[in-house]
Amino acid sequence: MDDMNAFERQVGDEIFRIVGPARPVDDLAVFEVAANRQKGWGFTMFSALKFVAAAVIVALFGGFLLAGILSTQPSDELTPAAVTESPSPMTAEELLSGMVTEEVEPGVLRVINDGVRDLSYPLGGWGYSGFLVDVTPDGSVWMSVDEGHHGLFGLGEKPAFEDPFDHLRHRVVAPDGSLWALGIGGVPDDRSDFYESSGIFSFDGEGWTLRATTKGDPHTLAVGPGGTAWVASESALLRLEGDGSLTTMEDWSDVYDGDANLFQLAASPNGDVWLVGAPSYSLQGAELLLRFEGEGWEAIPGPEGWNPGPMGRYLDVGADGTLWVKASATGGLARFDDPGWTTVTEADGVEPWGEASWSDTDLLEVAADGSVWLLGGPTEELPPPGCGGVSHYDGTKWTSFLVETCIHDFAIAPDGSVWLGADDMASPLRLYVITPEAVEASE
Amino acid sequence: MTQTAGRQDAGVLASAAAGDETAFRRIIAAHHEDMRRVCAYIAGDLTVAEDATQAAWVIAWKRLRDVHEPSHLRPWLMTVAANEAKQLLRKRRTRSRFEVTTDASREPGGRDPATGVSGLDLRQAMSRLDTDDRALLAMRFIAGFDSNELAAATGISASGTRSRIERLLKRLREELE
Repeated sequence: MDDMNAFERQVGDEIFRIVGPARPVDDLAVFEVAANRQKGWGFTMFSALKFVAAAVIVALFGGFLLAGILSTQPSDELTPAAVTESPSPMTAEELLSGMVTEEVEPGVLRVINDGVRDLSYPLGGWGYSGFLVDVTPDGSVWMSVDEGHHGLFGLGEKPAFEDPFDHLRHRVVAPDGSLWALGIGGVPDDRSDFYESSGIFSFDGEGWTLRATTKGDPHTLAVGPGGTAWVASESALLRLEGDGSLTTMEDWSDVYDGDANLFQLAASPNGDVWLVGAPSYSLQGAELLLRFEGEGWEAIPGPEGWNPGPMGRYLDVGADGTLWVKASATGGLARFDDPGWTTVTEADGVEPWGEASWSDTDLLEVAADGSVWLLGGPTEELPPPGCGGVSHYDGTKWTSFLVETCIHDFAIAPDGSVWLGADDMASPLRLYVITPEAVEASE
Repeated sequence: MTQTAGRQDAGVLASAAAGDETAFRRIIAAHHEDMRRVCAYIAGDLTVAEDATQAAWVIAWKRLRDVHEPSHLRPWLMTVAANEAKQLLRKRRTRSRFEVTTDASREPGGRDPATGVSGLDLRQAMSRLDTDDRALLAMRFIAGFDSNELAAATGISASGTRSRIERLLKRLREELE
């Protein structure tokens, strides 16, 4: 041990000999290069164009405008205040600046290095599956690997945040912009039973807060306006109010008589909650689709042939309150137009899926503009679940991206870009982004 | 080991992130040399180290607002610089070399009586390390990071960084026996 301590000291000394002593720093010179290089050629061109435009205006409208225009010019040249003063969400373009990417399809980039970590061998070197991605309304991209083990990572942001739980079951972005997680284990008041110590947590960008502890084996979470969270376990539905009170919902018995297995939840911006489930004795798919409108539950018949299983995230509610579901195991979408359904299986002659089955990799998300993204793409052969890329339905037609890639999770950013975590158990994790330009080009 | 930087207070970080040139220059003054020397050890090339450090400041100027905790600033800066050094090495298709020696003071040390290992042999053994291992050693010895700071910089747990450094030193030691 003494030898190792001496050896460690010798290694440190030798490294110092290699790099030499610290030198005086010309911080002004370093700053000027950093501040000016960041703007790059595009800014220079923009400045030049502004100047030309100013000259034209001056020529047309006389010298009165000259002083004002020229006096504003220098302040734009050096002070990057706009970078930090804008309250608008960070765009994909801004987020990707300084990162190393490669274009894998037109407008679709793979992030190789986010300026902090090498994502070609990601996040410290571990993680080959379960690549989870969320985007909060400020444009931040949050990632976890191995189904949430090893903590939470902000793209290009340090440090990593340790998760306060042992295992992540479900994570969603709440309307207020916070991340909410359903975590198993790690709850301080009871560690005697893994599944008896689970909790509802929220993350505000600075750290996690334990909102409530739960019992049973909760598996899905939804958060509505006002911070009201809903959690479903196998047979119980919990509601956590913004004031911290936790209640077990048992009042659906008037619409469904019998035990139930609860599959999925989705919260609507107007406060409605959608619940999918099945009788506990049933070997079939969902037979329950319930809507909670504040006063009580209402049973809604599902679209024809709709019988999804317990796994996957196959329903989502858009900003206008419209419920979308994956219509069948073989593909297509169904939109709930109260009181009936509109089914979209094909558009422009393209059916977006192969013979995919219901699986735990099902995922459907409604974008802010009302268009819909879901896993799967046109394939000639049946791909493994989740390995058909993603498809986008803009209301008239389908467009698919990364059709031979195994996508585990994706999230839609405020600027319309789509961030995707890919893993296939054979390759290191990969992070992709479909840029807004690529989305627009497909529309 | 130089911990010249210390910890920037929250006010300096917030001001710099908001575009305050003076605050940003204070951060440069505090961290630039350690970043450059971390890069120099990773790249083994002073030119690459200078370029990588400058590239890191370009990123920092734009992305400093991503750093919310003052204690995270230094690990973040060192990691950005280390990544830039590794990327530049790849772009220039050069291997890391130990050719930064430009004066006698940087010659290898002599044989250490406590370990029996000569500085030249140690330097040769270290020259065979990959860039990730070099980055880890640079942050440990040049930046002076403790386990928690290393964890923040590398994305692995504090205990993981400790065991990784222990394994790395053990491997080097065994090579030199």
